[in-house]
Amino acid sequence: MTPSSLPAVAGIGLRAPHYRQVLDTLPPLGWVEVHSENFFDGGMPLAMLQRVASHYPLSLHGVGLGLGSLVRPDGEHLAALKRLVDAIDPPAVSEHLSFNHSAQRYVNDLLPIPYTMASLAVIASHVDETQQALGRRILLENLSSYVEFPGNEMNEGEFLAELVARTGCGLLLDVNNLYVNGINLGTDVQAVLSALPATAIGEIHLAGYSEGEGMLVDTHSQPVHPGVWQLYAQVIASIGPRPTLIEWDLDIPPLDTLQAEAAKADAILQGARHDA
Amino acid sequence: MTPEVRWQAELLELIARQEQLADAALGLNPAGLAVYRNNYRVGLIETLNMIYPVTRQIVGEEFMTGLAREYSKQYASYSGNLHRYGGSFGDFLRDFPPVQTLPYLADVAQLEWAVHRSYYAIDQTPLAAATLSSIDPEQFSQLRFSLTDSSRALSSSWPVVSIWQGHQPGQTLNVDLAAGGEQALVSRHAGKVSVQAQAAGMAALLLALQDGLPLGEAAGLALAAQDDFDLQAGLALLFADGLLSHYQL
Repeated sequence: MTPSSLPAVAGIGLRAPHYRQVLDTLPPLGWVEVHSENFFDGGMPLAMLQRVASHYPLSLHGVGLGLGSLVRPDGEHLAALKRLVDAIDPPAVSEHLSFNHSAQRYVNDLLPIPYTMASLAVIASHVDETQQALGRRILLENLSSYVEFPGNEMNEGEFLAELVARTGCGLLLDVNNLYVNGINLGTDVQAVLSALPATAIGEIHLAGYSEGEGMLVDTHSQPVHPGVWQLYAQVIASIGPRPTLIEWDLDIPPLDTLQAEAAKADAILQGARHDA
Repeated sequence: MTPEVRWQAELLELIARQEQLADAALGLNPAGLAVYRNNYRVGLIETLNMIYPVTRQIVGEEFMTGLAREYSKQYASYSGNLHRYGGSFGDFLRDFPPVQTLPYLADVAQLEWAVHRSYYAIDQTPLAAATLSSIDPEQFSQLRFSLTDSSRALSSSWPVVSIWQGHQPGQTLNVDLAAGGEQALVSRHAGKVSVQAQAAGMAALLLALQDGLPLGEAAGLALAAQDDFDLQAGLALLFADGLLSHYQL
C-alpha cells in the first residue's frame, strides 16, 4: 500500500498569486499542494481551500510543526493542524524532518536535526503522537541543510528508514534537497537514496535552488535544474512513478510556467510507466 | 540535557541573536549559518510587512524595514505558525523613540493586527438572539457575552478608522488629525473583514463586553458615554451582525 492516495502524476504548489486564476479557470492540474499553516483557523482562506479541494486532489504540507524539535511538539499547532486535516480530509499530509524550537524560542525555518539514536527515539515518539492526533499516516520530508550536527551517527536516509520502521510513517523525497546537500555538505546522495525504503515513498518534490555565497540555497525560486532532473529520472526509474510536485515559492512565475515544469515531470513519469 | 538538545537550543540562539559570533564548538560552517540568519531576518520582516501595510505606507518602505528589523531583535517568535508573529508591534511603536513624531502610529498598527487576526480567525456559529428566551429576564444584567474571534473593538484618541480607510487601495486620504479620536469595530462578514467607526455608546458597550463585564455594567458605561444610547437597538444589532459567540451566567 502506498502511503498517500495522490495520483502518480505531476502537481503544483498552489500559492497566493494563483488562487484566483485557478478557482476561476480550473486549469488541468494533476493535483495541488498548499502550506498547511496558511489555512489554519478559518475565514476566507479555509473557505477557498475547501473549494480547491472540491476540484483537485489536495496535499497539505506543513512547514511549522517542527517534529524534530527535541522538546515536545506544540500542542496548539498540532490541534490547529488537526482541525484543518479534519475539515479537508486530504489524500496526503506531510511535514519536514526538521526542528524549529527549543524550550526558549522559535526560529521559523526548517533546521537540521542530529541523526543519532538518542534523537531517533524522541522524534519517533513525536511522529507517533502526530499520527495518533491526526488519525492518519503522514509523510516526512528530507531536508536541505546548511549546517550539520557534528556527532551524527547515521545519514539522513538511514534515519528516515528507522522512522518508517518504528512509526509506519511514509516519506516525501525532495530530490532538489538531496542534490543541494550533495553539493553543499558533500552528502553521499546515492547512499542516502539506497537507504530509503522505496515502498514508503509516497510523494516527490522538485524545485529550483539559487546560488548564494559558497552555498546552493533551496529558495524554490527557479526552474528545476538539469542535475536535479537527472537525479529525479534515476529515482523514478528505480522506484517507479510517484506523485511529483513542482514547488515555487519566491519570484513566483505565471501559472503556465509551473504547468510546463509539471509537464516535464509527467513526461518522465510516463516514460517509467512504459518501461515497467 | 543531552548534547543533541543543547545543540538545537544553541543553534536557535545563534540564528536569532545575530550579533553573536558563531561558536566554533558547534562545528558550524559560517556560510551555512549565514543562510539561516538571512532566512530568519528576511522572514520576520516580510511577515510584518504583510500584516502592517498601512503602517508601512505611513512610514515608507525603507523605514518600515528598519522598524521591523528592530522589532524582530526585541520580540522572538513564539509559534511555528508565522501568522501568529507580530502582535506586539503596536506596543513596540508606542515606546520606540524614533516614531514619537507619529503619535497615532501605534493605534493604527493595533487596528491592523485586529484586521489580520479577524481574517484568519476560526469560524464560529454566531449566538442567536432566540437562545436568550430561556433566560429569566431578571438575570439579563448578569449575562457576560463573548465576541466572536473575528470581532474586535478598539478605542483610540486619534482618527484611526479614517486613517486606515484612507490607505486602502483606491481610497484617498483626507484626515483631520485634530478631529479627535475614533472607536473602531473590526468584524468579518462572508470572509471579508470590515473596519467601521462606532458611535460612543455602541463603542463603550462593545469594549465593556470584550473586557468581560456583565451586560448591566456594560449598558451603564454605554449610557454614560452617550446619553441617548438605545440599548435594545444596540443589542439587536450585535445579534443581527453575528458579533457574539456565546454567553455565561
